[in-house]
Amino acid sequence: MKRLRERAMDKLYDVALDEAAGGKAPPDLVERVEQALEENPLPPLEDDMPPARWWFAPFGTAAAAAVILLAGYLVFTQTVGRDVANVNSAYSPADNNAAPAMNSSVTPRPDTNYAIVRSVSDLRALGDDIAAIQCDGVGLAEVSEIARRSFPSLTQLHFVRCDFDDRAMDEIKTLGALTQIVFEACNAITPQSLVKLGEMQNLKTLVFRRCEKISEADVASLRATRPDMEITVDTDMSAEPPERE
Amino acid sequence: MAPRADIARIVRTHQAGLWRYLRLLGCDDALADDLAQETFVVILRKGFDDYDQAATARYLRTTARFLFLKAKRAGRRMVAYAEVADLLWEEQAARDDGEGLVQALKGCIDTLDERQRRLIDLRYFKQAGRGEIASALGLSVMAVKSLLRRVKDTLRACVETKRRTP
Repeated sequence: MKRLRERAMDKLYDVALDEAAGGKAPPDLVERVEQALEENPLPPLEDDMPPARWWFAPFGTAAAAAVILLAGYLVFTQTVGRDVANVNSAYSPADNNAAPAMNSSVTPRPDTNYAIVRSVSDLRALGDDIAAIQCDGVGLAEVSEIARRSFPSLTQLHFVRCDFDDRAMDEIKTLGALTQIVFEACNAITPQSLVKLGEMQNLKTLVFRRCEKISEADVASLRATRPDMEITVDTDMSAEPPERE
Repeated sequence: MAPRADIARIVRTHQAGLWRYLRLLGCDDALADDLAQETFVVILRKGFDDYDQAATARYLRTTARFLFLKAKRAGRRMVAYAEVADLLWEEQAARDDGEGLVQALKGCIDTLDERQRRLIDLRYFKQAGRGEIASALGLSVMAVKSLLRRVKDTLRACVETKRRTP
């Protein structure tokens, strides 16, 4: 830890010296950011829908009526038990097509395999190829949604200011492919959670940053049982200032 | 998404600190430019409450660190370094986005002797390698390395003295 800190300090002075000596300086990014936002905007989902045309209105109404009638017919036939086989064969193709269509409308750009989420609806918008998720201020509902989706490619989870307690570990534990979890300012998590996290065999990196109830002493037994796991605990700086040079 | 004026204000307020922070994590100039840009784009698209400058700066750094570790496909060592670097930044530079350290160093460089200033100029302004510096100063490569270490120690002591005395 001390060696890493010394390396970081050296790097900090190198960066500042580059600037102080006139060699390198921070760029002005305003134009670049504005251009990037204009070139590739990500509007809210409702804005993705094309604007309605006035001449389309009668067709839209007719289509809606047809869907309602079809749904009524399906309910009716299922209820009275008539033409069950026909109903199933007519219903299944549409049902099978529904999932990919729904996913394709909300899946992020294909060149991204990470996401920053704040809610269950954010998570629902993710594709199955997601590899890393940063969760800001999420609660048990979002963790349950992650577990429910069981993203097959998900290897990294980063929770910031999470609003859940140890109960969430039962859900997180089900994500067997995870190799790295970071908890940052997650103050409801207690050392009880370490037992469950220790059961995750693929988990190789576990970081607790400014989590009030987790200290170095708490992770000692987990370190002993899981020597293959890199565990980092950064305690709250106001409670324990980093060592001085 | 934030209005155009807000975008410009947020970027101008935080770009220097974010760029320095990314370089502390280990980015070269080009990657720091790209990741700083991407960080702003990600959080501006996502939308957030810019109610407090320090909180926004911390949110930006958290996102930037996440993007950096992703971009580098970071292993355990890099993750551990990033955590330590983040703590160091909070302690040494977060309050003024590193500007205080840069200004203090400018003052301290002026107190160096001629040869030490030449060394700093070659290394940090002209970005010369140790071999080039050695031939320019008529020293061996090992002597350059050792001199550089001593000069940096001197500068660090100077900065710490400046910080202790208001």
